[in-house]
Amino acid sequence: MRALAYLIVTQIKNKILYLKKKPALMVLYGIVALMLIASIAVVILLGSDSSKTSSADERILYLIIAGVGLLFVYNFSVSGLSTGSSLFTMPDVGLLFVAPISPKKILMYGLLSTFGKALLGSIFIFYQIGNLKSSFGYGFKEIFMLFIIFAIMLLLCQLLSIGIYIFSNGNNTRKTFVRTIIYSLLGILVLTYLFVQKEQIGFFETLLRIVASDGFGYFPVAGWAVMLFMGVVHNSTVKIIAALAMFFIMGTAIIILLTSDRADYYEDVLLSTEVTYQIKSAAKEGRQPTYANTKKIKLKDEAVGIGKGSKAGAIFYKHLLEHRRKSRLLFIDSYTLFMMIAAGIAGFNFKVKEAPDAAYYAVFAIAVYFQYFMTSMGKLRQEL
Amino acid sequence: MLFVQDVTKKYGKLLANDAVSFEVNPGEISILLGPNGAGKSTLIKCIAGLLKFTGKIFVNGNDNKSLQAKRELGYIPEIPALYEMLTVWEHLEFIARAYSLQNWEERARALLKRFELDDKAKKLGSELSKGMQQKVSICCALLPSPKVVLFDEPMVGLDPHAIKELKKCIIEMRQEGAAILISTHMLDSVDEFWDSANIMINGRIAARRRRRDTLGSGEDLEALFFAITEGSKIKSYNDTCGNENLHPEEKLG
Repeated sequence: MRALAYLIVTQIKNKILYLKKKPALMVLYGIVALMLIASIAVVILLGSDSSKTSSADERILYLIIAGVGLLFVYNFSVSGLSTGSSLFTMPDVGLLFVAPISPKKILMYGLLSTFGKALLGSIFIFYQIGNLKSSFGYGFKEIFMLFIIFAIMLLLCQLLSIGIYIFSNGNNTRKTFVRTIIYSLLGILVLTYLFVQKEQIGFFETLLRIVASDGFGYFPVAGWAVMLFMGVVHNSTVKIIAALAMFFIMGTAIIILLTSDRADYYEDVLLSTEVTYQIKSAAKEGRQPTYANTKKIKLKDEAVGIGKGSKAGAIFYKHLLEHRRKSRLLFIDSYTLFMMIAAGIAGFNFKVKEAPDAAYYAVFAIAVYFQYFMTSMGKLRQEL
Repeated sequence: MLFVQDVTKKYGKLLANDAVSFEVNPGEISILLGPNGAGKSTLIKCIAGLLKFTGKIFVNGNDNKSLQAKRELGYIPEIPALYEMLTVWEHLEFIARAYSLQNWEERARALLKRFELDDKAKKLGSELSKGMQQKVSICCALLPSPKVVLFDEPMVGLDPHAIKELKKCIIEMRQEGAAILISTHMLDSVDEFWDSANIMINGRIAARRRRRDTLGSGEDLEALFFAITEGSKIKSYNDTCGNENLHPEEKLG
């Protein structure tokens, strides 16, 4: 057996054998697998219901696919501007990259293992099999495609992140160019929203119309994913081929960029691999990763030094200094801004005649929800 | 033989390595000394083929990124990282397959025994301590009997027995004709066996010495190291030792 095949097969084999040492985990996986098999079996036995007994709006599902796709595109693009993304792990760097194995074969190994992980991460979709069937009348084919689409989006966005990193690393002009494209695409979406909103059809209906439109199908990754799913659901070969072609062209272009002489992808994935490794190591040891924040902070000479505080007060002033350096708005960071916008949108749209105060409760609930994550992942935990 | 010529490495505007040139001959142990941030690890990663750079690096006459060069190169990284779901023995088997080694088992067993890992052969990577991971990393690098070996801070995290064995291994490899490059900022750890020393600061090689030359002149490597790395002492050092010992590029002040 060749080295890479040996690596993949042996790791899978050992992962399965490792469960013998963790019986509780084995039982849990067993139950999860049984539920999964049972869900799939029920759908297969009942068969696909082409008449679609339920009246649920199919566009809701398009909106979910589009939302997940946009989130992926945005997050992975932003990470591409800082550290990039990685298809590899630190052991790959130390043992595989220095071995006499063709970098192209190693890239294939990275793509395969990442796609495998993406597929595993997409398995949760099968647990929605009952909902999808009862709400939309979908059969196994449609649900399986959702599963594949989710994995393709994840893989493509990781490639996109690496592609952006290769293109823009160390070049501020190119970084600005990429940022301009990202924000232009988001701007187009906002303008489209405002244009459709003129018809006074409400926030949700506006979004549904946008994602179900033919034009949205050409929006990178998120739109292609919606187009592919629409093609499968409505048996439109043209849409399926068009969407797959766009995914294929983007994936191929990035792989060509990765394997070109100029790219030399080992270095391009190294920083991201190291950052991921440090974050994982820190998480395992229960400490905060020091490498997680890769944002460059320019220090002014006069602002250097904690300056005030002693004993417990020194901790307070230390945090104050860190906050000041992290954000110009002191306590308002990007998460807080995101929370404010999300809560604002929620408050604006929760207008229920029977419960006029619902908006306040909704905003409050969302604020608490976000605050929970900010607190649990933030500085407080570090000091505790 | 390892040949490094005009290697320059930039991270954006940061110049990590600035036109670095040196060579390590077969049967020679060369050390890269320097304070933190001097550019040692970057240079080692360039030689290992992990980073892009300008300049030339040849491993036994082959471009360092060629498969032939990789076949003849052993690399022990500063931070050992093993596959969590491979056992110690499977790591060695993987290396044997990657380097197309024949009859490797006996050498693998000997290496494991030497580094007191023979009873850990069936342990998974995730079950090993950092020190043990470092030992496995060393065994993996040495299994193919490389002709050129790169060590990046190899003693960090090792127990005294492993340090002793590693030093013995390095000396044996020298006797077998390997070119060995060791990056470290711990002078004591390499004091007994280095043949040539390259002192790095700010991405450049500020001084080079051969042991036989320093033995003849009575020059102290440690004193030279501190004279170069602690700028304020340069003048007094030069006054004491005389400038004739320094390369033109060494005159930092």
